[in-house]
Amino acid sequence: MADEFDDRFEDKDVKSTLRAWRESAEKQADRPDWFWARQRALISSRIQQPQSRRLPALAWAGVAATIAVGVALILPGQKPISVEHVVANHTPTVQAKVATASDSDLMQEVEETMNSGVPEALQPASTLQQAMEKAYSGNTATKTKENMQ
Amino acid sequence: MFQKAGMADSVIPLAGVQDKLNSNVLTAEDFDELVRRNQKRIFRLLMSLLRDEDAADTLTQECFLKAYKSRTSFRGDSSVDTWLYRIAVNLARDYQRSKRQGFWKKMFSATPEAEDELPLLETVAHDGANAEKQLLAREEAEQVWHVVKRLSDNQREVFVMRYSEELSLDEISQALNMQLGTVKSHLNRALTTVRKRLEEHRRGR
Repeated sequence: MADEFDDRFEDKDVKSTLRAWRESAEKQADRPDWFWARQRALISSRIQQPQSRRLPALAWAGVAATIAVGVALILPGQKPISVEHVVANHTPTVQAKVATASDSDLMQEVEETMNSGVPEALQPASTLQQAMEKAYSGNTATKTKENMQ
Repeated sequence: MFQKAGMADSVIPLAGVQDKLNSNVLTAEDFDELVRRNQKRIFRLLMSLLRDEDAADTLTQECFLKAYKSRTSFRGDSSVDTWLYRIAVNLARDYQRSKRQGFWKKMFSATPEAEDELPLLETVAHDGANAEKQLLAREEAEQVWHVVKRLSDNQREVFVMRYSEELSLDEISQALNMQLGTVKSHLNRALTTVRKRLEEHRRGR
């Protein structure tokens, strides 16, 4: 290697400067005894800290897991409910429609809905509105008659 | 291994601890002893690399925590000292990388910006030399710090390990997990930069 370290670089001149620099580095890192004692105490406490913190956490995790397993075992077992079962019990109409619907039926249904004035889902509301309008017009007619008399 | 002048706290080789690390029977007392014998060296290395007291203190603690956590993976291929140096240098690299990305500034919010400029001139030993020589030595040491700060990470690590920690090139090679030739190359470049800076400084006086 062309620029490998050569001992001749460390001539007397540079050596004395480097010695002075080393002494300054040593002085710079010089600390009183209490500093080193404090540092050792901190290292020691940090070595012990993770163990004492982790142990209760692990213990709690173990307890929680045991309780969960215990509860699962104590409770009477239930058969898992399938999605099909839920659909069959709670939405029979939808299921029936889904089961029988073909593309042409669906298209026909959409067409009928579009042609009818009120969508099928809003028919009860429309009936209610008609009844309210009838009652209101009846009321108005009676009041007009009364006013005329 | 570390029989170096002015390093009385770290001269005792940790052969016993090394055996225990290898056989995974290290007690708390053993580990405390390992910390006691190495903490000054690790702190000094980190101070020289980072020039940030809070970071050097925190990373020294991290270094020993990491060593403790990974004690079972210590294979004994290198000495405990070299192993600790390697952990410390890796932590310093991570720190510098994170600092560049701006994360650590938030983590160490108490670290003032001015810590980059530690009082250098007070740090050179007074060994009875005359005042002019002392002043020159201080000024030149300061120039070296300026160069060290601007070296590449690899060059800085090699330079600090060689001239602050006084490790052999083989030891540096082991600690940095680097080819010996690469270590020499980095050291050569770092020294060239130092020499250039010193020459400029002397010309400017």
